[in-house]
Amino acid sequence: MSTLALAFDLVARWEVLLAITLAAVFGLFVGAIPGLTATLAVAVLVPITFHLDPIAAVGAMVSCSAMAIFAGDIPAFLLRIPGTPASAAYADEGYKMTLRGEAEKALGASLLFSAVGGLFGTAVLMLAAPSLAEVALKFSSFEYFWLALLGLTSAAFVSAGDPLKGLASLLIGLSASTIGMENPIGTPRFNFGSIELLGGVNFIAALIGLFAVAEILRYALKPSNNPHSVPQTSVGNPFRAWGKMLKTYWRNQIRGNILGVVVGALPGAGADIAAWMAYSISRRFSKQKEKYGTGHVEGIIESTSANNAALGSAWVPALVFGVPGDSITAIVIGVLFVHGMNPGPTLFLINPENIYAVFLIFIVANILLVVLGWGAIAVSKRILIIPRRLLMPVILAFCVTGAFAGNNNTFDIGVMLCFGILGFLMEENGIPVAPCILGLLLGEVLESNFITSMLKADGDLFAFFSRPISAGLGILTLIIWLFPLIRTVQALRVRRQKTA
Amino acid sequence: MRAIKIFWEEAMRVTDRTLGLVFVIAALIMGFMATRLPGGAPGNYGPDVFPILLSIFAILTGIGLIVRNSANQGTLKPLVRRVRLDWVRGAAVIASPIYAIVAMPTFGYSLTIFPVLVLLMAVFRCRLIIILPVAALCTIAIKYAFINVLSVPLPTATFLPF
Amino acid sequence: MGIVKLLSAAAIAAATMTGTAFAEYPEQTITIIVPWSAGGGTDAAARTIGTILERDLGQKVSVINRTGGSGVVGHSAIAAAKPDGYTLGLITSEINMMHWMGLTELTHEAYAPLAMMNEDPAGVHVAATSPWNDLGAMVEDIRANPGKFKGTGTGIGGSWHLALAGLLNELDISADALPWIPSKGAATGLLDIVAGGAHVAPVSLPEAAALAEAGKLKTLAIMSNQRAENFPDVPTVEQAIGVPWSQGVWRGMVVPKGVDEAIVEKLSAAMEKIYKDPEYADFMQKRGFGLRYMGSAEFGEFLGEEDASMGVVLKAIGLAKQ
Repeated sequence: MSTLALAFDLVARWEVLLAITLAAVFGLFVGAIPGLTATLAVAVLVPITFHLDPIAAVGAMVSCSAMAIFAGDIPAFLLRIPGTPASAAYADEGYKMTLRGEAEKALGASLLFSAVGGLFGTAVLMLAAPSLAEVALKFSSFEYFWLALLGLTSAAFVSAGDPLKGLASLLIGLSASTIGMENPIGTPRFNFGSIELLGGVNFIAALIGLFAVAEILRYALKPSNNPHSVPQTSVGNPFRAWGKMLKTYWRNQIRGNILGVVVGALPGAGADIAAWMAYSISRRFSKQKEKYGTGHVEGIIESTSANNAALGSAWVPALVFGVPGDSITAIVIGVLFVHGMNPGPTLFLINPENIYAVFLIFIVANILLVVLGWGAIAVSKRILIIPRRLLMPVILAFCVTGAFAGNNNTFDIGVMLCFGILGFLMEENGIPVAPCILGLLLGEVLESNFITSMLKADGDLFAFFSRPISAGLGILTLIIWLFPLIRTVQALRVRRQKTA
Repeated sequence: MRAIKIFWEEAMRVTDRTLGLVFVIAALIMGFMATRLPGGAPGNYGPDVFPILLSIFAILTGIGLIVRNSANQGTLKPLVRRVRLDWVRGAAVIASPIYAIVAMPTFGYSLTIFPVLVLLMAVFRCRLIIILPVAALCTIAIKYAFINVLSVPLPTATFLPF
Repeated sequence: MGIVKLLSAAAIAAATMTGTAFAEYPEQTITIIVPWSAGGGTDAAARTIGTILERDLGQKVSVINRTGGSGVVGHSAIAAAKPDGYTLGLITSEINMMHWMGLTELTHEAYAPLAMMNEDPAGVHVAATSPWNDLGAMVEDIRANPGKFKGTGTGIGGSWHLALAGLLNELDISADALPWIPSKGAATGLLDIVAGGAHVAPVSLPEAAALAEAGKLKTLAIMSNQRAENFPDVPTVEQAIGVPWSQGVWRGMVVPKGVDEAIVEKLSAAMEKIYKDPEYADFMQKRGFGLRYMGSAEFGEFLGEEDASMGVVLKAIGLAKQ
């Protein structure tokens, strides 16, 4: 108890609270701009944290990343332009709600369940960090290969309207991910002699292109086909609306939280993948499957619960073994070192008040998320009032700047434009763009874990089933894949019997 | 007897058969290029394995699209209403990033983004009295945000002090 | 006549003006290009150097990340920068590998070296459950069972791969005896060692510290001339098996070739001052980075020697393009 009191003293100081709040506002701002990710927000904070005391430094990074992941939903829902990759899975769903005048409801749901998810992730971090980290250590390339395949399966659910075209989109994304030399062997592929393409397609530039630039192109090319501004309904007292949603969708929330925590704790998978998998699971088991894709809050709730829960549990392997759970914790580990809080099991034994202070900050940050987030929703809603003919050029300016800023490279502006045209053509032909993003995200993971597994096993395919967790994941994947096939065969047999 | 479905859509749509064909051709090209890649150092699992697998899947998907199109002939016919496209506006959107790529290194950030904003707002038919102040304000705001808040160094004009 | 006089006067004026310009260097913002992404180790080192340089020279220093292509993009950007002394770069070991592997034409000759600022020697890490308790046992086991054990910790042809392959090459063990499993980074590779997917990871000691502390890994040796201050129990390769071998990753400050001698000297002196600054030492120590300094001339010599030895190792393991 005295440890907790000590930790409380560490956190309840004005410079710590000020750092957390300022970082939170900064995170909201960065996350809401298309093309700027939560990782970038945290990276920018790094030089500033050197001058802060350890707890304030870690607190700033925690609150900044939590805000940025939520804020990515704001442009995703209002303009169908995801602010961060983690929002891409359900951007369409939220945008459809906005078109119905339910922007506030959608964003409110995202905010509440982000905060609850974050708190759940924190609870797991506090109670189960060491044992969860042990599980994460059992994952090698075999397990990650199956996990990536499971992740890809969600493409089928995101594009349930036309699975074949969803598959086509996924394959476009996977193929684009093979460009460059970021493959296990390090051989340059499909770069056509370009040095810039050696590093592969810049994911952020592609994301901005597929969503934002494609949207602007559509607006420009098809003036007769633009949604007129929809009168937005207010949800009134947010707490009453939240109470109702919690009551209806608590199952989704808990399932999303658990999935997020598990996926987040694995180094090599993160909040983005958690959001995708949660969306597809929610759709698969929903009683109202037909409503998905038309602007249904259920899928949003489950995936937003997952991505913020993943954010907390990504700290598990980072704190216990110094192994980053995602790109954000990779940066955090560096900062912890600088402040003498070297990650490792001793972090929990020597001066445990430090680590408890970090946990307390997680709680503070998630409560702060609700307050600041609600303010951000109220402000950003006004974007919808701005006429599109003025808004679209400004968004394009942000996109160009964002694509440039990632690498300080004009080449990525070209990448963004190419994916913008590609995204426009795809959607015109009924090919959804979301699976393409998933393919880009997972292509490298899938390939490297497949190839390294084959190298380790000297080409023995059975090795994918020779380890307990790997075998379990593999069988699960195969069942999910074969299930629709079995159903079709059965249906055919039934039909044949009827005609006979 | 299945009912003949008719639906209207406003899209630049090609038939599934054309789409499938494009897919198959693209996949064949990728597969062919992959076979020309160096075999990779260790074992037989070189850089060519994954792209070849992908191209096989892509060919199957393309064939699937073609077959489905033929099977659906007559039963599922999209009556696509050809939408009138505004090519001038589209060209302006595509030209803007291209201009940015060319101009940014020499003209610097402000002199690149400001004309882009003015051009786009003009082709989108905003009033001139709004365009200039809004474009100027946005350029300054974005530049300030990126340089001072995000500490991203944006290029400056090589011939001007700002 | 008059025109010639005027021209020569102008030339003299220009010469004196540029002369004074050099004397007043630096008079505008200095940029440091980092070939790796923001938030990483090289980036953190560059930002610390930048902060101290800004204070010492009294001129704004901004750090730019030019990532991609396994460092090729950033290293090329440093070489291609205008040689006016206002663009510096923090180059890393990769500069001596990528041209051998045919990724670029660029070599260290494109730069004028200022100083080496850090070096992290490679360690030899194995799982805690591994039967090997010293480096000698490991090496002999690999020699006796070629192809049975696997190494990991970086991509194929990465620094850590070459460090271990070079050692085996030195001991006349064929490169095929220890097949390499490419991994995304040191952390991924170490996890694979713990999970039992591979057997040895030659990455730096600080990277493995947390897992070693947790009792998941043991460190058999450090590829350096002397033991590391933070890890006094780990023997050097020479102490373990009697063969001198040191290899690691390093970072050094450079400017593109063609920068005025006076500016190079001034910057070189500035780097030495930074290296001796307690703030720099304190940062490197806390971050777990190894300290090693070489002045301009010494660093230049080192670059040439290392380039040659990297060529030998890369050819031996068949990664060098002909």
